[in-house]
Amino acid sequence: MDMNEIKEIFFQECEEQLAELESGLLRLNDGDTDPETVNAVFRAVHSIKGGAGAFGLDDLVSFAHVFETTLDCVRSNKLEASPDLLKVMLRSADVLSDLTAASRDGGTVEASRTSGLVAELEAYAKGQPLPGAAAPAAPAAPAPQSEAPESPVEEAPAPTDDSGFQPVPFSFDGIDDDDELAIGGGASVFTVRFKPRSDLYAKGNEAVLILRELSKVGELQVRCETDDLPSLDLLDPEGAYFSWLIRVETESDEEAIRQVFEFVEWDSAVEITAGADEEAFTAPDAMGEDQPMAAVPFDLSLLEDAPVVAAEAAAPESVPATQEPAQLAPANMPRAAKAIAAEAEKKEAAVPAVPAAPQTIRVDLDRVDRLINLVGELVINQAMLAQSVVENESGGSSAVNLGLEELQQLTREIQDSVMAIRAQPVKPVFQRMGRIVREIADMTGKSVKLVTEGENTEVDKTVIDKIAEPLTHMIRNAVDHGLEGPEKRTELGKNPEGVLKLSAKHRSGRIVIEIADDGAGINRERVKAKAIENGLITPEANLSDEDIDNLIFHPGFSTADKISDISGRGVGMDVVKRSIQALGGRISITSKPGKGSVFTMSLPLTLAVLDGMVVTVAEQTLVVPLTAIVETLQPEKSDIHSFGPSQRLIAIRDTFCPLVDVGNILNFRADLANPVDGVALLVESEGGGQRALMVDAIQGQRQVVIKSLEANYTNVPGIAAATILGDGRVALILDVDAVVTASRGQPLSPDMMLAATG
Amino acid sequence: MSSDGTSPKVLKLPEVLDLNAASRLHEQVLAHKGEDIDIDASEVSRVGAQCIQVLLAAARSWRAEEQNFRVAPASDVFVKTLQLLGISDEALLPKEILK
Repeated sequence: MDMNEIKEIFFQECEEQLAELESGLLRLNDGDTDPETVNAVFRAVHSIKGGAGAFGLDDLVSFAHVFETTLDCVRSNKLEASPDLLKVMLRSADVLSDLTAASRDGGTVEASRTSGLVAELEAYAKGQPLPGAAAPAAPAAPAPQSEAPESPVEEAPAPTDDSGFQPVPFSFDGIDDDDELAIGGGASVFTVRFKPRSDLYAKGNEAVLILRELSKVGELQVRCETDDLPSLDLLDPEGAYFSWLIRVETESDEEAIRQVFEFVEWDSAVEITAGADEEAFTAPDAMGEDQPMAAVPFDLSLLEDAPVVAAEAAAPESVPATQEPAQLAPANMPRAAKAIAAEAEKKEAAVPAVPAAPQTIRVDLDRVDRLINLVGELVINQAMLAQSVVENESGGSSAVNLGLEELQQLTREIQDSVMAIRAQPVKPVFQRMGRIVREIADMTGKSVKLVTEGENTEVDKTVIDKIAEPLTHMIRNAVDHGLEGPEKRTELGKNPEGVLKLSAKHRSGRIVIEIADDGAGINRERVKAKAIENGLITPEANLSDEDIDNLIFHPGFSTADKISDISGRGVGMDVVKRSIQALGGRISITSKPGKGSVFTMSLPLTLAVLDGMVVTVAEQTLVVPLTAIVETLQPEKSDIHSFGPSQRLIAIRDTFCPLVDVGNILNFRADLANPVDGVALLVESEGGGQRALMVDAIQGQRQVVIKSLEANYTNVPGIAAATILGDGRVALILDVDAVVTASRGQPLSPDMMLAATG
Repeated sequence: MSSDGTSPKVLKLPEVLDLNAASRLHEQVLAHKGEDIDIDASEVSRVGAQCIQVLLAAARSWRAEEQNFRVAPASDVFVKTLQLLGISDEALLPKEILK
């Protein structure tokens, strides 16, 4: 595995982390206060930062670092996750995602975007301490001097800058002096709280080694909290009872400390804060007077004569010194210690509640595709075998038939399972929409809340990849045209914040995605006026509300008075409709004036198999996608009407419908077939019109495995793809839209690139 | 203390006191409950936090029962590890190092 592959994996993981980050932030935004959510968000940013560091992606690291710093403040309850802060964080998540993309694909992110957010994040991290939130026992003393002087506070976030942390507000003056002595010469002081869980030991890690590692980073003062230690009888020898409070004096930055704990992060509670927590080191434990748990003597000697190798130092004469400042605040320590213990416990308790993630492996999509292809062959082969058995067997051995039946069931099951491998939840796409909504809302000055539902609905990856674009377009439309501005909404007595609901569900073997807004709905008057103006309809046309609503899917239709930056660039809903149809899907709209509109699209779950009707045209076998067919009928001679030299119409109930001779259009035959000898398939085509496709006979309806013609041969106009039938013959899958368009007089041309199953 | 006259039992600690040794150490210490004990840590070349938990719990329970619990002699590694972990219980650290 070379570096590039590893990097690729890193970026894949980044995507997952970014999704995690965003969903976590959104949950916080919805009022989730679970500390585990904050932790998850923090972890996501932290992992990105860690990986980016390994690959030397400095931009990413420095931004992630600032982000992480602010998140850490939220995590340690020093900063409240206010709606304003979350807004900044969501935007930061967007920028982080852009930075990741820029690192992967090249390109840059505007420096102004990052620097602005960096400044905001930093301001939150240091500017808004919540009084008393961290330690109720702390007197409202001014924060001890931080290491600000030597840490840069300019826009570019230096990775070493940790001054943004609000130092833990334990402080009293007697110690501050010592502190100053101690941190002279450019060293910083950090306070580390480290509480291992028994998992840490069970996994073969050892607190001793970690502390030893830490001692290489800088000078340590270690205080072991042993209050949790039960009596000998109750003790689990493999449990974890000790926790440590460590003062680290180091020339390095916080990152160096964090690295020490890198491998035990999830098996222990680790909290690193800048600044000293002197009180914790000097105050004796007032709870149990017989516990000689004062700070280890050599610790204090550090404060007096500078560098002493920690492990060697034993300075009994300094013991009295520990007592003196301690008496200044005898009551604080136990409470503080308890608070720490309680917090550590809380963290510990929170972790088991998180269900273990199901195990997954990463597989190259190509391999899955190959597997799917092979299974497709298997299905075809099974059908062929079944057919030849039926043909050759007169007596009918039941054993063979039984075996064949079982084989058929098995292959179907294999096919379903293989398809399930590629099935993925629509969640990532929905999450991307969240960002689009935020951006559009910002640009248009509207306030929009995106509600998603059913984001775990699974659909084939190929479909997921292709719905993002039409979905984006529809979301933009909904925010830009659908929802009113906040003032207008208030005027109308609606909540100034518009709601956009995005939902997905399975319905009868298809996935149905709905985009509902609670905006103004379609302005039918204007749509109609515009349609008349554009010559789409005549002024006399008597259209139902539904017909009018569907006019917006007509090519080149835009109702926005002004062409805005966001939507209405002449690219209208017709493009959306076409790309959805290209996926074998349908789209419809329902709208209530003043209440909003709902766009519903229904898509096949996979693009690898297709339900089709097998038909014969001029002795050729064709497959017509079932989704396109509205009904089939046997034309009567009296229903057929000629129209012009070669056009024919068929009367279906009260309407006339153009008759399309498929064999003629595809050049299977030069003359026109007699409609009475064939069957008409009523299909719905692009633009909403209905056409009757004329074929010679219907053979049946079956599921076929799609084989791309373009990949194996070349694009053939009028043909979407091919498949192999049970008798081993290749059958072509008809591109209904292309055929219908050709019937309007435009010949089939190769540049009409209509994709797969339209 | 109660048993000045009799010489205390000596529990010799193995060389390696890691995670795997913790359970056994716990049993051994429990077996000596109720009598004075000297812990010989002179051979210890590696000690983990969990064994120290056992020893500290033992020292406290011995103290509660007013029995003698003493670590002596102790190897350098043992002493240094205790110091690194910030453990300053006098029963675990040999006297000459504490004072």
